Amino acid sequence: MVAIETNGLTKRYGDHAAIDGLDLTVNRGDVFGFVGPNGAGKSTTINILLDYVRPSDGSATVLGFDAQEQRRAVRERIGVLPDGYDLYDRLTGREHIRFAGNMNGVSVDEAQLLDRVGVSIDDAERPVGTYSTGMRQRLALGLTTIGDPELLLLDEPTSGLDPHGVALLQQLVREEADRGATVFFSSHVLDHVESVCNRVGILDDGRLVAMDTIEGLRDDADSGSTVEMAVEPMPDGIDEALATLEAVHAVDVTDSTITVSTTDSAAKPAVIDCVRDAGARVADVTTREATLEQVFDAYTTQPTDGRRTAAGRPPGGRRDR
Amino acid sequence: MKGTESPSAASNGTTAITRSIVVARKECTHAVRSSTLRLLIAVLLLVTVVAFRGAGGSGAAPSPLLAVDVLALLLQVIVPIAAILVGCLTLAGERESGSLRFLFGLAPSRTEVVFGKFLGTIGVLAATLGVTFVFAVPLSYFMFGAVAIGALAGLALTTMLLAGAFVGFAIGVSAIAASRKQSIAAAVSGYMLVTFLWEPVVAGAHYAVTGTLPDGALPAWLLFLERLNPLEAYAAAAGAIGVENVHPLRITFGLLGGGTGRSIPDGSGTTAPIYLADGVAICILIGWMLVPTLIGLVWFRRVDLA
Repeated sequence: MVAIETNGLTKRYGDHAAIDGLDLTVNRGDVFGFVGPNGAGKSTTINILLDYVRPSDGSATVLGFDAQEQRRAVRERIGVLPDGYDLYDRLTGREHIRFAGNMNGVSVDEAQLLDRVGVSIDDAERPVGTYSTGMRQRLALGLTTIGDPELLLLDEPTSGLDPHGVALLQQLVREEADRGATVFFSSHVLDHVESVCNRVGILDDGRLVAMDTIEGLRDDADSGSTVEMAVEPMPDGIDEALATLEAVHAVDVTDSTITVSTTDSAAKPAVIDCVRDAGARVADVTTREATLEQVFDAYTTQPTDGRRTAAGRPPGGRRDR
Repeated sequence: MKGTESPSAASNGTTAITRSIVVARKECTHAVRSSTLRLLIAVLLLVTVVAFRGAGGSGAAPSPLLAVDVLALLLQVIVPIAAILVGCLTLAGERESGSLRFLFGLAPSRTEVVFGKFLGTIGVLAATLGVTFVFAVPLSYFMFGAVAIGALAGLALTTMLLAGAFVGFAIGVSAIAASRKQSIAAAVSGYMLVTFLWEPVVAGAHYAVTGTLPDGALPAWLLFLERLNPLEAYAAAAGAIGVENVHPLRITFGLLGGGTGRSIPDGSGTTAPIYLADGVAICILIGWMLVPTLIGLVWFRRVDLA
């Protein structure tokens, strides 16, 4: 059974396509991580699934219902934590729970809900305007579980949460999944997705660049590694020479160091040989096995003309995006 | 309350009406806790005292009836502004803050939300005005030893219609505006049009149709155009409800012949067309209440909430 399916889903704002021909399938029972850098189109996709935004082209179904035409049927079956949401400052936590319950016509075990998201009974009697960002986020997460929805759609649920809050979220996601709910959860932090999701879709610049199980992505990741060399003197044109090697996908050259990312650990000797052949002395070598984050990195910053590039990024550059 | 419902989430225990009412109730609770509303009630009570004292101190013989007329003038300033303040941030404010995104994560449709906001805002203003008029009863008795209860009740009803007219207008604007600023700017412009620019607009319409500025007896359609102004309609509706001396409070420039031609010229001796009857003014106020909201709703239903 399919929980979410999009076909050629496109949303254009003027000339810019926020998402471009997205074909996404999430099966029932999946805990699906939807990852990509900020601005990749994650929220736009979720906004269309919720009918906050109407697509320019393509279609989307949620739990078998058309996201645009059968909105009510969709809403009644899902719990939502949207991007850029806010709660009502002058209503208390408890009033929010009652409001959501009344709106959806379900009774709610308030104490249990508060306990799950770590909001005390005392705090629940205070207006939400006095809550910290993390507390609001935890309350809002609790509200998504009202009525035991078949699908939870969570847009960047970890933003604003401290490590304890992230752990609560992950616990909540696991419990909901055990109950049989599908969870669709977006993030730009792969760590948060990795520990709870069984499948991951990577979105970059409005396109789905990978969709696989965590194991599948990890298999890719396990085969790659990074070689860092301290070199003297720095040979001219070494970046181009390295880039032509098999399995090299990124090269970064500074005054005295060369960093080479490969998609295959076996390529390491060839990399070192190449530098020596160019007439340089290799003073030091460090190698690191690629992490899942680097695979994500490779997918989301990959140039459009192929998998190889001589113009490497500074290490850690992705975090600045 | 126990979470003993069946695991099926699609319990669908609510109807469009109950969802609208849940929104309206939330709107009321939220408004009641705002400092704006407390300030508004304070201002309304103060204005009532001022009107009653003013009536006592004016040249005419002080009477509870005169006090009601003075109160009607002051309410024409406060009520439209209050309705705009409360109404024009309802949807635009929630859209800007993002609470609309939370709200639409729950079951209600866009229509239900607009309808609920409309109900809630009208309810808040009606209750506020109710408090004001209830307060006026002992006040009148205390100051004049008598209460013009009929006139006071009539004015209360008419003023609620006036509040409804401006709430409808403000909610319509709020549904279309993309931000609080836009909504406030548009609603305030609308208020300016109604209080300051209506006469030039009506005179302009006459010029556009006949090629001359209005002079002498005004054609009935022009009077109707003037009557479409909610403050004009308020004065006329008050008359229809039985409060005789309510005057529209707005700026005029004498463009429509002397500036006193507020009422239908009766010198001609002919009976006025039916659409100029005072009772029709009640429909005009109801029109202001419904039409802008419906236009706003049509817009709001298809807009991107990004």
